[in-house]
Amino acid sequence: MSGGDAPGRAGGTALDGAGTTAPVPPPAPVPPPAPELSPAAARRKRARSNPAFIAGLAVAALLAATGLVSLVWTPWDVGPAGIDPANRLRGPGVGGHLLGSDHLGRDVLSQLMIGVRTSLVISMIGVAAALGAGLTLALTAVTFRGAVDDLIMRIVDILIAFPGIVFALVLAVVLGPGVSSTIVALTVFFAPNFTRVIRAAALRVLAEDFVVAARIYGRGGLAILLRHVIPNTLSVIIVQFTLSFAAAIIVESSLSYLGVGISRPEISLGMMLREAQSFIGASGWLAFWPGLAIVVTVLGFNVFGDGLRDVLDPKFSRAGR
Amino acid sequence: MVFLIWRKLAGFALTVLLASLLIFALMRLAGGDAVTMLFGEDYDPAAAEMLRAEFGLDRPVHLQYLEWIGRFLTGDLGVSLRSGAGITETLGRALTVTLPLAALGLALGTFLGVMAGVVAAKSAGTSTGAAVSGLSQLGLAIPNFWLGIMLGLLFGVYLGWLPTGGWVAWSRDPAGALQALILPTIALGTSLAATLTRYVRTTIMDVMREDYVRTARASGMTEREALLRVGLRNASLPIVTVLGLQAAGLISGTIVVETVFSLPGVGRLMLTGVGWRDANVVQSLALLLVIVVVAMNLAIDILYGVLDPRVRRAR
Repeated sequence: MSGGDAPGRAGGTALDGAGTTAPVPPPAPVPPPAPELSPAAARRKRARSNPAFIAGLAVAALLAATGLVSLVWTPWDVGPAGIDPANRLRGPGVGGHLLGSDHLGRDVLSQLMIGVRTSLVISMIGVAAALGAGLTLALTAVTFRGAVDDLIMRIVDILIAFPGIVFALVLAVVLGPGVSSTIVALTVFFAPNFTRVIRAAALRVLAEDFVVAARIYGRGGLAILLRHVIPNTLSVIIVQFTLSFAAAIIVESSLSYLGVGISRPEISLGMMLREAQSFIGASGWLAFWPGLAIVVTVLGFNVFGDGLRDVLDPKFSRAGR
Repeated sequence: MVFLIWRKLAGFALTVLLASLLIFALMRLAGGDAVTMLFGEDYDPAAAEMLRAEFGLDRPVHLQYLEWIGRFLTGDLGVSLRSGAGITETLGRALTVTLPLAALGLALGTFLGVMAGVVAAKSAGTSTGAAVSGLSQLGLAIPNFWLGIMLGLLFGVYLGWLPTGGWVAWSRDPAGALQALILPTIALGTSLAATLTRYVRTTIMDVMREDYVRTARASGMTEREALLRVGLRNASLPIVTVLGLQAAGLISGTIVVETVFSLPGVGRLMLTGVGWRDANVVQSLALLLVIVVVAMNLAIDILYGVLDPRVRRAR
């Protein structure tokens, strides 16, 4: 009854249904003719009605913002100037240190902010490199098929058999522990998965009618990859990227915790935990905060990734299962 | 079936061969030779030459590789460049820590993961189901080393019930050794369980929709009996496969958890090797761990064939 305005209906709320009032709109206004949403609009709608996606996005944005702020400002200096032995191992809130201070009296909150940034940046670079490698390998495999495909997938199988930490340890000996060996380890760790996922998605797309049509139309292999395969696998890639990114944060912090990842003067959450463990008897808080920061970060990006999957690719969402 | 096993064995051998080449090439090509790595920046060239000759590092690379692999296959993992000790003997001692830890962690993780997955599948759509899923999501986000540190803080530092780390040999004090493994097992098992819960839940929900489960219900089984006797049994094969995929994660987890609780296991051995830049130790142990992972997956593949007639007859 959306069309009729109040005055018009005033006299004729007919209870018996007989058409007492005059202007019945010719065909009773069809209940909103399910507006045909463009794919983008439908995605936006799904995004708005997906609390997990919004919560994950908020956490991710907050963490990214924290990392950015730490570039220009932290509550305290964390370098040599921040060392203050008189105020070592303080609890939260003592001496102006909101979350306490470490074994050299440096502010924990300031280090956390920088640690989050390090984790985000290193994981981002590592996973982006893995995506690049995985995309290249997967597209090579689906383009040439046959022996090339077999070879690539065999290599992928071998890399998946490497326990991630073990490969990282080998790299730490070869490259020396540090930022570069961590990034290479992350790349090698995640590239096989990207290869598998993208290859599977690309094979699905290549079997679609519109790709066959494009081929008949005379488009070359590269054009089909660029015009059809990549755009149509993009949602799978984005979701895989987000989830791998969350996993990479755990891998990075594990490596730094083991002492083969990030070390001073750089600061990372895993490294803070490694240091904190020696002083666990004196200050339990010191070992609590970095771990909590890791959990929040990973949880945030995992939830964001799951939500993103529901938003981008409702067909593959887990919500319906 | 026999053909299937041979095929799998050939794949296993090929994977191990390529992995060994990869490890060896990384160790030799990228970082110069092991002695240079061991000595660092400045060293006495004459001493380096002597050491190279002693370890056979002055010979052509392919001979070094063949010798390494040849010895490896006979169970001789070489000697530590640093201490000169036989790696095989050192490894034997470390395994008395690592094997029980990995086995207990695997058992606890499987038990918790299957339990939680069954509960989550059974109560899908209710608040219990949501709570279990939420817990597993949280479990995935908690790094096992932090969980270990926090467990040590709670039960070791605050309550004083269990040691926060350290080890006594089984032969000296079996109860103490077992006690030293309690917290590491929980830390290792929980993270495995979190991963497993999701798979178990999905698998069971898929299986419960199958016709044979409906038949079981129709023939008078209660929902519970159908779930436990028919559903879980049929879900067990996919679950075992997923366990195989977790083998690599289990090994990584064991290395990390050993470090948290300062247990003298394979992880410690390997990290010490990394700290000393001892290429011999690291390459032999890395290959060994890769073989363990591939072998676990091979065993599961074959087991799958034995248990499932459809797989057995295929190809």
